[in-house]
Amino acid sequence: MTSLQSKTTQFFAYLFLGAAAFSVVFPLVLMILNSLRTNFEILSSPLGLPETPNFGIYRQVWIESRLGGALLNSCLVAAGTVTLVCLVATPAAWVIARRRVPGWMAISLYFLATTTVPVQMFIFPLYFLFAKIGLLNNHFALMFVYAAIYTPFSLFLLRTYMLSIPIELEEAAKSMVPETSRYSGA
Amino acid sequence: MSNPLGDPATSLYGVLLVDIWHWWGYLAVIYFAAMRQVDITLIEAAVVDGASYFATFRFVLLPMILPTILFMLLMSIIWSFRVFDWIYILTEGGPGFSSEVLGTLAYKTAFQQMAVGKASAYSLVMSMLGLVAIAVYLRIQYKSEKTL
Repeated sequence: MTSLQSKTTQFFAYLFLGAAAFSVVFPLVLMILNSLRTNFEILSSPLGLPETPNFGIYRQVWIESRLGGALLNSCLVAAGTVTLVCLVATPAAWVIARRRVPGWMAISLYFLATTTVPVQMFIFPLYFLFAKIGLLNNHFALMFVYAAIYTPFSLFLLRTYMLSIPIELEEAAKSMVPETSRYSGA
Repeated sequence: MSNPLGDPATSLYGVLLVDIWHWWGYLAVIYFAAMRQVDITLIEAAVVDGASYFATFRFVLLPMILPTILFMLLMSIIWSFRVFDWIYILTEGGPGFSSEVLGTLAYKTAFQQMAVGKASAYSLVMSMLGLVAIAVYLRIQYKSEKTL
């Protein structure tokens, strides 16, 4: 592909991509540098380099703030959410992409409409609901909430990828094995 | 250099820039995943046929990832109406009301003025604006025969 590009095009492409990459890396580097500095240093010069790098801070947050426990909770909730979203969104995306379900327009509208609701407006009602049914301080409750929030987006993103799978492939799978149900083609 | 977030004339553009900055990387990852799905033999065929770099992009790669582009356009519109966190962190809708958006207005109404009903009405307006974009998107889906 490189032979198709002129040297100038390539130069400007790399210039643009380099600037974009820098804009992403800069805050991350800043975060690493600031983690090694004291509060006073950060406030007096937000963009400075650490004078005496304090690596002990990592040991300190690990022990004092129970970072390990929080990390474990995050991993648990993330794993559960991903599993739930994949289980729900993948088959749903397939039937909606192939329009195998009556009223796919209404189902699409229903799912997409839920993405327009701002999170901060349903956090409080959700909290009181979960308090009433005794699901506070529960990993599984959190997984279900996150799965509900992220399923519509995952569903429709997966759907756009599935649209690019040729329908002939699915038909070939069906004709090869007579007993194959259309869902195992997915 | 003066702080663009401190000036009512430029604060909205300041938060706009930050919101674009945090969003474009996400889009890049999703478009990258979509492009990896494109059959490489199609690109090779176009190159063999003597298509230029931009022609290959415009007539082979772009149509193949058009469903993803359309969908991410829809989500960008919906999530832009919902934008809250970056603006609240950076300016809290200020100075004055210069960078106030529906999201920060609804949050302040609900949790500072404690007028939850009014805030829910603001949120419903946000949803309605998103629903317009969804209606257009679904109409495109309905009209197209098989893909998009």
